[in-house]
Amino acid sequence: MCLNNKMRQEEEVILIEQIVNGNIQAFRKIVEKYEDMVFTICLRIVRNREIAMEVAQDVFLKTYNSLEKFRGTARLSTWIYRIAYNTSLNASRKKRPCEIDIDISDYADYEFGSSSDAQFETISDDIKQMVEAAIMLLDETDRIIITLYYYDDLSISEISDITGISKSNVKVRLFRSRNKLSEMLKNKVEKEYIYYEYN
Amino acid sequence: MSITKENNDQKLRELIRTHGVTKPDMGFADSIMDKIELSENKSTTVVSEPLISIGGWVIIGLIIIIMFSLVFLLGTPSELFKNISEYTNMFKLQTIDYNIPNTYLIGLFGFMTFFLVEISLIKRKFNRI
Repeated sequence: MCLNNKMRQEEEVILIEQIVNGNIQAFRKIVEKYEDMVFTICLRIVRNREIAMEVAQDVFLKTYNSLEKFRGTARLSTWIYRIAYNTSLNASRKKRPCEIDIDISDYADYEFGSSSDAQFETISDDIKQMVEAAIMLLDETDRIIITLYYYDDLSISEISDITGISKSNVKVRLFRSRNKLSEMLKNKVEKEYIYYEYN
Repeated sequence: MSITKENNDQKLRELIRTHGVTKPDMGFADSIMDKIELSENKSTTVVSEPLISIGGWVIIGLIIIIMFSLVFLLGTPSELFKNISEYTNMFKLQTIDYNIPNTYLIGLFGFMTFFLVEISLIKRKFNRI
């Protein structure tokens, strides 16, 4: 696992060298690798798909323009996510209330539709919406912490570096969010999840 | 099969990995690459070679300074040319009788100054294109 990470980091350093030396197309690999996570971070903070698209594009342009400054001491992912987190927070502060199209209150009473005889795709979509709904009910920073921790396997120290929150605070927030999420998803997702898993 | 405390973490990880990430629209990477290529092309067109290098400007500046200092040290422009003709006579060179009016010489200096200023304006216009 550690060896894989090291290899991945070395590959990324080579890729960055290629980009800095003028191979623009090499940057596409970085975009394709991180676009989902960067877009998710942006969407979780700005809560508007169109604005999130713009912010995510801005994140990659900023990343491209400052690649020369990347020294390779941290993982590239950590560096990109930090840019994404800060850019999204700035965009969120500038945003007007009418531009928020994901209202948290919409998620509070979210329930599954009757899906006992539904197709797998529908169940999968339902689970996705339910997970999304549960995450969106968390605090803005907690949403990012839980996503970074569970989706990208980032360490507490890396999450602390991205969000600028102390390690102990990240741990507390992670523990709290984990319990909240489990509680929210326990009754709602489990039934559908088991059905999805065994069919 | 209930979500117990032991497999809680694993279950959450699985759920978030499978369902917790939203994908951007199709062609997201293409649009970023287009923007980057556009910005790279823009930055290459802005770069232009100067018409006169720094060394060139130094030489031009020195010539002007020398000419003006000669005028002020040796007298009026017509006197300067007379002095030069006397100097050339010393070496028995072919000389012609210089009788250039001051207005002509001042006009010549003015034209040279105008020419140099014009170069910088033309250069700026080229940079803008």
